[in-house]
Amino acid sequence: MWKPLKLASWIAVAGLAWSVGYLYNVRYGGELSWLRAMYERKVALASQIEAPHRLLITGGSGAHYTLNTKLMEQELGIPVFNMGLDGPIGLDVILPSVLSQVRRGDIVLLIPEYLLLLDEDGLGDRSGSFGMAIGQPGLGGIPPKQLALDAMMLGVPTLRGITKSSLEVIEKGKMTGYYSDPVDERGDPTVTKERAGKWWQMTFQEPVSKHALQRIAKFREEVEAKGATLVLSLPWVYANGNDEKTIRNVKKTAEELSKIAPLIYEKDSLNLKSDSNLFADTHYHLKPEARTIRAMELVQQLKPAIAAQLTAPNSTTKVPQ
Amino acid sequence: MNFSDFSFWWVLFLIGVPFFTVRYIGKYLNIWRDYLDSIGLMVLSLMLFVNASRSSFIIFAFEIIFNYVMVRLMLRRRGWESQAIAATVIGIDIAILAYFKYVNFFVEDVLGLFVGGVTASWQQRGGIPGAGAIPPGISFYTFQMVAFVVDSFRSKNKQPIGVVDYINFVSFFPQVVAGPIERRADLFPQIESFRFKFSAENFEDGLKWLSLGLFMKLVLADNLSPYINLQETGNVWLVWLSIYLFTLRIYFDFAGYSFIALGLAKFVGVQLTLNFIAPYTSPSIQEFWRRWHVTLSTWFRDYVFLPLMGAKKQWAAFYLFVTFTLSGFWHGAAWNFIIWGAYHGLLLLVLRYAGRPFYRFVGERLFMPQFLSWALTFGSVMLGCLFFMESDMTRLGQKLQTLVTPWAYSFSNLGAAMSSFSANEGAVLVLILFLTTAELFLEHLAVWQKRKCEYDLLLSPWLTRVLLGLTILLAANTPSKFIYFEF
Repeated sequence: MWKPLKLASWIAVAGLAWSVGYLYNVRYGGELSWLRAMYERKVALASQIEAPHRLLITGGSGAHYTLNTKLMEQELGIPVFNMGLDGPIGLDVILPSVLSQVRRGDIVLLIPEYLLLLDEDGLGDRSGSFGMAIGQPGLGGIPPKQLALDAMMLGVPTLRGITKSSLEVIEKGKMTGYYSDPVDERGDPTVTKERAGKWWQMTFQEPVSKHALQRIAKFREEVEAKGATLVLSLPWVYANGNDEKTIRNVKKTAEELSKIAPLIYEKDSLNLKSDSNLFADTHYHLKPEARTIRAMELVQQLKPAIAAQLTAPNSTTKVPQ
Repeated sequence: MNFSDFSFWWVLFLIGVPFFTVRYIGKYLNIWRDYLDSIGLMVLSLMLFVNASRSSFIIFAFEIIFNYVMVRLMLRRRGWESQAIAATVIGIDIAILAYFKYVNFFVEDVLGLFVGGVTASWQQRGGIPGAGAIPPGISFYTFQMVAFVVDSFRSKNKQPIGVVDYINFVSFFPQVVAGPIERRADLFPQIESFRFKFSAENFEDGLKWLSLGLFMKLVLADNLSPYINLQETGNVWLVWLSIYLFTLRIYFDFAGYSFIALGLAKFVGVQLTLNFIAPYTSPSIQEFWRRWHVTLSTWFRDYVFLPLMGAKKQWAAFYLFVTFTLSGFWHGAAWNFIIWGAYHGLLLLVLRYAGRPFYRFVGERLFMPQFLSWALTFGSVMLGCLFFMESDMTRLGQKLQTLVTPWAYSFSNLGAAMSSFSANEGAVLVLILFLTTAELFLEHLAVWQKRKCEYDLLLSPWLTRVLLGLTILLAANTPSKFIYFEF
């Protein structure tokens, strides 16, 4: 064979395999593809809401799986939308990916899990790959080396991934993923996942990281530059509320966050919940009945902030009833 | 270098692209001087080493300077002076290795056996600086430097060696951290006055070895790794499964590394020694050691076994046993490695004295005695892997007890072992075992067909391209560490 052609065949094989892997990972079947689809669906649904004031709630899956936005909308009287995504995307990528949806007059409620709050660099396992999957490579200022690695891994489906999907096709006739269940018109999940493993109560050895504080402070500026308002909330988490170190760290976290923006949480419990019956499959995800309780609590805590936003001098439009 | 760490490829890319661009332009304008190739290779190798481990680089840099100056001095002297210099260099090289690798073991595990409280007070004091934290690659480059001193001492050619050539010889980036341990006669002539030899043949050959190596490491070894459960001591089937999977993993892990190194070296026109020659096709332990980690085995033969034995050939068996025990100790400062080395030494002695009569006996009475020899050899290697992988002596004892308990081999235990995997985990395991079996079968087939190289079939043009495709599709996304980086 002609030598250059012989060498080109290596590139062709690598390119073909990578493309197949990319299609699986990002478009059809891989975990990232479901996450991308969920994000795109949420963006499309959120942009359809025509209202002068909206409540956009965001964070990781600790926001996505913890709300009853229908109930909140009824109680608050403004459209409420769940823009919760996935913790491993990382705070540095979640925030800019949501920011593009924020409009003048919106109230943005950020409920970051401790995974996001304690993280030192704001990036997670899916930061780079998510940014590329949604067509915004480098979102969140990912270092070039990490970005290059993530780009390469976009075309690597892995033996585990392929086997799991193949078995699903045989058993169910379709591929599924953690985020493959549809979301409703307000961005809430339609399926509750149950925990199979044993429970243990989380403890927190550190307070919120400096990086998380800086990034959230910057987010406030970005939100306000768009004419919207930022409100923060501590998440509900299944944790050891008797552990002194945990209490100290959560109090410190609350103190620091409240310096950035209004922070809503239950002062006595610090949102540390000791009843595992409230939780679905993780320490943050709630069962439907717990989502209702959480939604009502959020409504009560949010009312002053919303009232302030609606009566603000530059709030020119009236609240739809 | 850790080839499964993206950092290696990233640094290679960041240094390689500008360097080769400048070189290309320089060549085009006819202003590029050949010696710049040697300097370029040196900078590339050293930068990659710094990237792999800064702490190890400091020790490495010191050893390079010390060894080079001393070898240069040695080559200028004759007789006892030259011998004394060689002995001093080797002594200091081994002492540095021993300091980092063996001090803790001697104090805690050997001295601690005889003097009560030593271990506790040693640990309380935190040992001595640096001891116990083995700098990556120290075992390999120390052995290569020691071999260079001996070979230079024995060499008739006493011409002085260029400093850049020496640095390139000991720091050649594809092999400096985990071998192959190259000899002066094999590598130095290729490295001396080094020139990059980029050609379509070199790239084609390099890509073939690289594909095979990456497939072995990233697909086979890394996908096997999560199934090896060191904690399990009670269920005999799971204990055997872990031993079997570890036996497969260690081969694919280390051979994969060696083949990647071979492929990378071929890109720049250097031929490294084949460190693995289909060891699991061996019908005897003796042959296994001719095929497994070849450059280490021959190093121990030439620099430990033969000098130890000297003219006392009647004591060969004893020195063989001692050499294997030492080889085990080289693998790690722990009792399990010493047991592993001694176990292989014993196996060789058993083969030496009982092998032929046994084979004759079996050959007369059984069908396919070759297959039985292979099965016995593979089984013995597998059992040896138990000693290799289990550094916790209490757990090792428990596992051995489980393995020799007849009623542990019950159907209920088998059922419990099988139900310990989910459907997805089980399916993945079956697929990996299918791929490993296919790979090993192709090695066997090449051996049966008496091909020039045991990897001929796996290196065929179309199969290597398939392996590259499979590596991209099936590689584990969390690569496990190279096992041999810990030695």
